Amino acid sequence: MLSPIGPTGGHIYRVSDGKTPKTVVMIQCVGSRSLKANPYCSFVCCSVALKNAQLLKQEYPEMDVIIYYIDIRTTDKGNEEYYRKIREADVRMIRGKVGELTEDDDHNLMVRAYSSLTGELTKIKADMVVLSTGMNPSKGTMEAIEVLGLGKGPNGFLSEIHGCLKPQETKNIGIYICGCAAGPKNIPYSVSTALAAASKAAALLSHKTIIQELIIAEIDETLCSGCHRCEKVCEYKAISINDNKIAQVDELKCKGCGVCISSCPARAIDLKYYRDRQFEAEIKGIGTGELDISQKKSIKIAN
Amino acid sequence: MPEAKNKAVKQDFEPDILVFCCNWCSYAGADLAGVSRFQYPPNMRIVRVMCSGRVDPSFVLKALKEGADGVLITGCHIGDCHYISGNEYAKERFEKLHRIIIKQLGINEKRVRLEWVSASEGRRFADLITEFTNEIRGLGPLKFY
Ligand code: SF4
Ligand code: SF4
Repeated sequence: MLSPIGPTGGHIYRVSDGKTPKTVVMIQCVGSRSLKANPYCSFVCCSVALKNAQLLKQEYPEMDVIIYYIDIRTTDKGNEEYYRKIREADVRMIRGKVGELTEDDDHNLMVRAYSSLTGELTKIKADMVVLSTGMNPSKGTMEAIEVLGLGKGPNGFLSEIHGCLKPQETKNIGIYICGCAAGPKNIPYSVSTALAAASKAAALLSHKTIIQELIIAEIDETLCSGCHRCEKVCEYKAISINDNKIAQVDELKCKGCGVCISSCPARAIDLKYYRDRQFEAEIKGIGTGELDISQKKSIKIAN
Repeated sequence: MPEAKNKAVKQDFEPDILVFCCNWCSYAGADLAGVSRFQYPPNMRIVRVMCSGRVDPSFVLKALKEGADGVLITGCHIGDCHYISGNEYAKERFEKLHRIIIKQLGINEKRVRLEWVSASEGRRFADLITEFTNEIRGLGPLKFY
């Protein structure tokens, strides 16, 4: 609404009756940072609300602007300035969660909230209420997770391989994430993650070949019964059951963890270079030679 | 074949311990314990696996059969698995191993343990090995009859 090229040409009025509001209440963290809704912080709303409040005050100096907040988080570069300016701009900040919001017949709103700083119950008649609603993963994110077999974080956003060290990479080679796909972000942060993702992609494409680990799973087709177990446990979606009802490993996707192997009831899978019989020989070797338990062996009758 | 309860041999008994370390966390943790010169008993040998999820219950049984008195499976902490969730499968499998196999064989459950050791926990690795070795020493040799 405040945007000069927005639907109202930058003028503020109520869509219902065309009245310019005298009192605007902004409510922060609606559906964010709550165990009943999104447990995470939506990252951008505090700064945006402060910026909007300041713009409102510039445009309509007579207007009463009130912000209800839990904490104000102005983390990114330059955002603290909004906070400082808002204090000078005569905007009322009330720390507290809004308990009730009602509307009367004239479309006037009543906001009731407990102020946790003064310990009082506040009641404000507002002409317009602006909610800072939480940011959710888009429907497309869900689809991408399903179709591409990507990882999903606890909040429903895409998950990266490693939040600190590999923040753009997904478990699938050649698929990178940036911006709000991985969680709430503001514009500068989204741009920098997009650049990082692009450079990751460029680095991959700059080589003519992809270097692939040789440690990958291998199926013994004569043993596989097509039970789908390995398919379910593989995090990289590297195994699928083919038309002949036999498991098949996608050699480019397999990372060689070996989780499928120990889950296969038919023992039909083996990991190249880390084969079962190699481990067995290793264990046996340690048991009979390395640890010098041969004297003790006499009292151990293993069956 | 229940475990024999022969306490007589405990005095000068040195247990043999087999440790499965995942390539990314625990093996590096063991390495760190080494380069930091943390002391721990020399009773154990390491078998490196790519992921703790690779450890098949049959490996554990094989180790016990081949003469190990205790088996320790180590992996990355939950949530830190190099392969995203291999350690969760390891945990699940380990519980089944305990609930079904180890108990039925009559082997003391304390002889097989699952622990998480990260690459930075050299001290913890050394302490863990010391503690586990002492515990197995207390339990005495594993005997089948
Ligand atoms: S778990 Fe084993 S038997 Fe089942 S589909 Fe996979 S390879 Fe085949
Ligand atoms: S070794 Fe790991 S990545 Fe490869 S197919 Fe098996 S479970 Fe998937």
